[in-house]
Amino acid sequence: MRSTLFLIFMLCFSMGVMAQGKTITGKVIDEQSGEAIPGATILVKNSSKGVITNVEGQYSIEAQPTETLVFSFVGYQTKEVQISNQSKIDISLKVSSALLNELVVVGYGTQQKKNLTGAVGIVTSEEIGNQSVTSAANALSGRVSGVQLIQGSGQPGNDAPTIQIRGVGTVRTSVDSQNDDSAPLVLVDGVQSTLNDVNPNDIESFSVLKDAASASIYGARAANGVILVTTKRGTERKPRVTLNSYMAFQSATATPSMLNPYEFAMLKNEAQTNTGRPILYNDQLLETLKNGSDPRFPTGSYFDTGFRKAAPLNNTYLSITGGGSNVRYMVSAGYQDQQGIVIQTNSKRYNFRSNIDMTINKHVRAGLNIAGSYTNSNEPNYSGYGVTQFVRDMIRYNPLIPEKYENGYWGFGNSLLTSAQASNNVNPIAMAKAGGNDNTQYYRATPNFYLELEPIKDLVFKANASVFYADRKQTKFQNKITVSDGVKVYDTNGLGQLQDINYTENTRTFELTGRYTKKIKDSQFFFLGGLTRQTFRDDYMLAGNQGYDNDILTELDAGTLTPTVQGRASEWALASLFGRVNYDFKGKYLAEFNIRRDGSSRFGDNNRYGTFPSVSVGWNVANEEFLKPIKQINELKFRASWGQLGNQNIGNYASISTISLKQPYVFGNALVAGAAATALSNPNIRWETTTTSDIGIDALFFKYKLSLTADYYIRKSTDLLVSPPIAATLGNLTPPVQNSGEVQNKGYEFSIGYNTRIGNDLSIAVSANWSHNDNKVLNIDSEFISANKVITRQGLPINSFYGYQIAGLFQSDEDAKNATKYGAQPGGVDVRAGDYIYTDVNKDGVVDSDDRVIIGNPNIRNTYGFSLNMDYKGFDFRTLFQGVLGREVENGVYGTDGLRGLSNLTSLYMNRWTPENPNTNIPRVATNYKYNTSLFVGPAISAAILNASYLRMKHLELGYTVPSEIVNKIGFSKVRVYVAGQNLLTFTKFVKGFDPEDATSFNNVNDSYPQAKTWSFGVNLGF
Amino acid sequence: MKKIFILLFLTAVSFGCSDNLERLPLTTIGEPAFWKTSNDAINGVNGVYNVLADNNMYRDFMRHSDALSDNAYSQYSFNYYLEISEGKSYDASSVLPKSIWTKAYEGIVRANTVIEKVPTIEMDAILKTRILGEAHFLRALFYFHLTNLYGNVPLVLKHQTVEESLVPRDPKATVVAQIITDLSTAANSLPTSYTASDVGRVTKGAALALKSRVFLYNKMYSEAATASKEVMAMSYSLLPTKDFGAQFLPDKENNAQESIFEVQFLGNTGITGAGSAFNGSSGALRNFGNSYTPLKNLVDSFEPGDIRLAASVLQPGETFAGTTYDPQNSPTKLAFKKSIIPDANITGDGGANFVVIRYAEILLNYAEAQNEVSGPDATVYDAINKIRTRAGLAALPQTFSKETLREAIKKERRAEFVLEGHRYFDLLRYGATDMKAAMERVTSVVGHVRLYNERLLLWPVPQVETTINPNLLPQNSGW
Repeated sequence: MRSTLFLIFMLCFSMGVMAQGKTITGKVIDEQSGEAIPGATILVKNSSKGVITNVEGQYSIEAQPTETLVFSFVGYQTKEVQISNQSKIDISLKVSSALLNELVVVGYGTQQKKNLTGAVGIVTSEEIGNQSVTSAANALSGRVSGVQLIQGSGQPGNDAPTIQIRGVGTVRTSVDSQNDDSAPLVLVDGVQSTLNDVNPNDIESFSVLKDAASASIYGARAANGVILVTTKRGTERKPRVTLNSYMAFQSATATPSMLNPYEFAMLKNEAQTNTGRPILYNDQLLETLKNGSDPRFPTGSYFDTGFRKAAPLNNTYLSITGGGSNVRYMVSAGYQDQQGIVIQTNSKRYNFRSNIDMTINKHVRAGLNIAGSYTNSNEPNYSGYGVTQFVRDMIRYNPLIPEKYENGYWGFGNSLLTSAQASNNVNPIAMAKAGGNDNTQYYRATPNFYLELEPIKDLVFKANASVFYADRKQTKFQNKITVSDGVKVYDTNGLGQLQDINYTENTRTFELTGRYTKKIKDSQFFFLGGLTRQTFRDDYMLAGNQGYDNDILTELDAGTLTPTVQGRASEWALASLFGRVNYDFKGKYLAEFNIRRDGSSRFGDNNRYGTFPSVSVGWNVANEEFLKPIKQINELKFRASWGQLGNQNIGNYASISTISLKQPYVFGNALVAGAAATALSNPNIRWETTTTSDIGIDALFFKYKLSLTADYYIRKSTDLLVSPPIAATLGNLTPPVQNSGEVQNKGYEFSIGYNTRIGNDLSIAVSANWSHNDNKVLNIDSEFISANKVITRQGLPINSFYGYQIAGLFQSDEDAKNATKYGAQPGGVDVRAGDYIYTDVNKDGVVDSDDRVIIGNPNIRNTYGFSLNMDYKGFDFRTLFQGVLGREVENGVYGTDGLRGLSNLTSLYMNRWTPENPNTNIPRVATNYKYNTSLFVGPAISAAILNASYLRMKHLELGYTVPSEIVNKIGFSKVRVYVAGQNLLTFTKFVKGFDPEDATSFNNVNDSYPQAKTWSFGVNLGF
Repeated sequence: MKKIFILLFLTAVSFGCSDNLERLPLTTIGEPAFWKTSNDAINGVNGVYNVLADNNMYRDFMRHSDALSDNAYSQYSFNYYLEISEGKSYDASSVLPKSIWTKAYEGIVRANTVIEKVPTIEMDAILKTRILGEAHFLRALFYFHLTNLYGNVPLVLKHQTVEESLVPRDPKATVVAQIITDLSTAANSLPTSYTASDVGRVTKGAALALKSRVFLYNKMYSEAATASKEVMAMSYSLLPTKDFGAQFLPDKENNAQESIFEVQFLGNTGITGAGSAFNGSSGALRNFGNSYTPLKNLVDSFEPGDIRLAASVLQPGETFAGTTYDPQNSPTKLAFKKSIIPDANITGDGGANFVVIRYAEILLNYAEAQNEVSGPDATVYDAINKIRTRAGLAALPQTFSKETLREAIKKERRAEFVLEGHRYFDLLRYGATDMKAAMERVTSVVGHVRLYNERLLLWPVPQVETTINPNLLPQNSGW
């Protein structure tokens, strides 16, 4: 933008457009340092006249006495001066408020960044630029220290990353719920919401409240941190229209590489021979598979057709902002049409937002924000298991079944092969294409009304009422498909089955706050008090029918068999009081105190309420007299905070024991109701408390060019809400939630930024951030193992990998049998050369469950990011790298079973152990031998625990802004074109063919929806 | 201005300060509100029956248990039967030992709850007695399965808290004694039959019949003979020859003649457990029929002329449900027929019940027990010959020694009870010699070798359970 202005000016200047008038001269200096500012722009308001200052900061311009001069320079506040009778105008410019008085959105208000005493990470729309993220949350990736985003899927409509702020602070036995339970609270313009719903273009800024001091105003919901999203609002100006549009092409960041049919048959023969079984495929068959001469055998991998190479994505966004003194507005609409990388998947999204602010009189203000979105996504039904199963089957299904036979029917089994040669299953592509479609429609609406009263100056009351409403309508249709093995033709995939699911979530929030600012001499006080009341309800309804002959009529009544129906609902409610006091002495000494009292319906009568205080202090050293002479230090602030937060993620009714009425049985040939308790409750369950201490420093040096923020924190969660497994002799009940144990996250965060300009045309901004987090279970009543693979044990990170240490591969059959040397192996008499050596850790001669040890840590230790933004004349360039250093992930289960059965393998097995290829870490292939693979049901083996560190170029963008005098002529205020890329480069040692970022949990079972590598081409228009 | 302020204040008071934080579940009943009425009692005991219909009980496991014997072969490792049948790749962390252990205790604890809670409900005394009888029978049945598979198991008879649950295992004999006590309680509390809408509930006959099996399995032969005789004194009899196969199909289900206790299945209702996983017809032939198929050895074990072979096993070229059976996809070139509904339209769950106990078993229990007590007497021959005659075979001449007759009875049980959840459990109780021979007999499937090991006679206590509760240790020998 600045370069555009500059260009305008240069053109004006060179064209020598001079009006009649007098000459005004003067000098432009920096207000703080008194130094001259070369290159500052002086424009005559409402004209095209302008000049720039020379190296001494001096200028000379012709203007009329009635005109106004506008002085501006990047990074400084613009000043306007009426000329009148002056002929010499010296001006001192102030460093712009953006740096000096930058306002930061905090809980229930804004605060000047320089006065912040808590740890808050900020990302503005400017930084995000045109990064073509399909989910708003992805814009945070790599930009804020202490925030971990793991994007597990690139599925259209289902690609929101999991977010963790400063590590996992809570322990749940269910690894699946771990992500939900450690997800931060997201508030969009103050309303609890989800990032999935927000159009990235609408976002003005993100504030990530990381420590307890900044988050504790949100009490019970804030234990995992808070992300405040602020959307753009109208200002008093004439309407401005923004139109952003891009088109993108996506491909998979990693595509599993599988054995082709010939390789598969060869290796399966080897697996048979290795275990004393007859070979399955004779030479003639192998030859046929190799030369692909028979269309009844496929030739490549299912991924050849299952993944698209360039899936198109279109995104268009239109917004109009503006307003007068009474009403200001920002309205926008967005549309996105995305084809998935996996065939048969796609999503369309429509976003709408309207932010209206009204000034009724000088005491009363009001506004209404309405955001709405509609998403319509499709994926293959795949026998009810969806696209994940499809990806999984492309990996694990043996590759000998063609998509279609010459008779025109979909492939299922192969009549040329026996059931020993090819498992009798469907071709996954056929199932994805013909087996029915799952459609998900998401309707979300978030209306939020506010009324603000200012009865006396600086005393403001505000009432907010909002509803977050989400309705997920799913139609899952499992289509009967006619299949063939090449000879026989029959129907499979059930009876033709429909499920209509309707799931609604409804959160109603009412909030009343009052705030008051009082200045007494050098002291400034700020008081905030409030109450909120929040109720949540979800409703689930499923109606189904069966007996559909085809997918032409797919409504419930078109089914010909017995319809089924299910429904359930649940509720929770939260009532809270909160308050805050800020104290600011001369901008030097800062203090803040927060308290919140929450009552939650999720706890029983005896422990319903929790109180969460926090306190933080700051010292702006740069404002002290003794530092004032040091001009290089513009800001230097030390801050410290302590606070407590609560966690209530225990499900809605964990304190109430219930009887399930869905335990039916058949008597007299009719289904009769039955009842039984299926879960244990704990009426005494109480709040999990997270206590965070944080010390930090914020500094700006060298005319605000160099910025530095660093934090060190200790975040300790006590009275953890855990459900350790219980003995089956209690009746196979879901374990109760209990308060037990303590977890600590300790770490530091560091970010640094540098902005500068070289000459008049080139400006450069670089930034980097690094976060380190150590997770540790301080104590736990009884350690527990989840999924037979990870353990939560005192002194170790949560969910550390626990299993067998693999020492390598046996190189000879004698070694394999040598129990004295290696311990009796779990594979027993079947162990051979080329099999994993299980380590007999305790040296008792037998490898058994006592030999399990810690073999990895799935918690991320370090995340980092760095970016470079450059502007040169009309060109702009941005790039962002993001990385993870220190994380182990279990890889495998599918595609790694060593041909135990007829499942396919990844082509890594071409490098398997054979007597001719002994120097490898891939074990031999062996029919029915299960100890060379990481089993779905565990136990974990170290050979499958891989380093999932990576460094990834998340974003790359090159843009060109057409000079405004050109675009002005055609009625635009801005025209910018750009080309951008996402995930273009990845550096990792993770297993080839799989993406290290895929694992949102501790393991990656190789069935994730692929992530997108995207090229996009776009335009930004303003008029 | 003032008005707005007041309005705002009132809104705040009405919305913000109403402290309604009492939220009860909307789709389940809170436990304090339950166990109040006779209807609760009925629902409660139905919830115990519900466990019987689970995959890890009669819906799949009992039917599939033949794959652990010389009767059948289950080819896919994901079914978990393959590893146990082969005796290797099988350890305390294997899936099946955990699933069955867990499911049995689910049933036991549900029965315990009924036994504890129902006496406190004010309700019709006869109904109350009956419900308690049902709960005692079911608890005994679950414990019986546990003792057969794991030997010593914790005997849990009362509600436990999490803290109280870390109990050691009790000797098998103690558990068996409790099973007998429970069955006696049940026999004294239960009616001999039910009106139509309650058909499927446990009867007095079922309690006595199960008692005969429990005594027999625990080698308490005279008690077994006595218990069998009690049932024989009731009005049960064998169905005619023509109905041998039909009794496992919906038409003849719950026949009051031979059937003593059946786990009830309705078919494909969309509710798991309401239908049997096994008896889809064309589905079974094409899909399930491939993964779980009879062994040639089973076919060979039948005497010529035994009608039970054709009722149990489908052989190539036979016509079934209107199609000629093509065994191409069966690894053993055979398929099961018993309890499979001959209706090509059924592709999912079927409605055939699982016949848990029928009169034929009582006769064979009696024959076996009495032979052990007194040697081959006339009542023994009478019992076994009733079975043989019905099967279309000649009566045994009364010339057998005790030992040869014992073997003849074993053979008879195998032929009679294909797919009825007997063979594997019989082999377990016969012991090492029989189990080893049975495993070595299975040679007809290429690449499928069964490796006998003495430890296979008892299942391992699941590793997850010994981790949670180390008091369950020591582990069964060999594991």
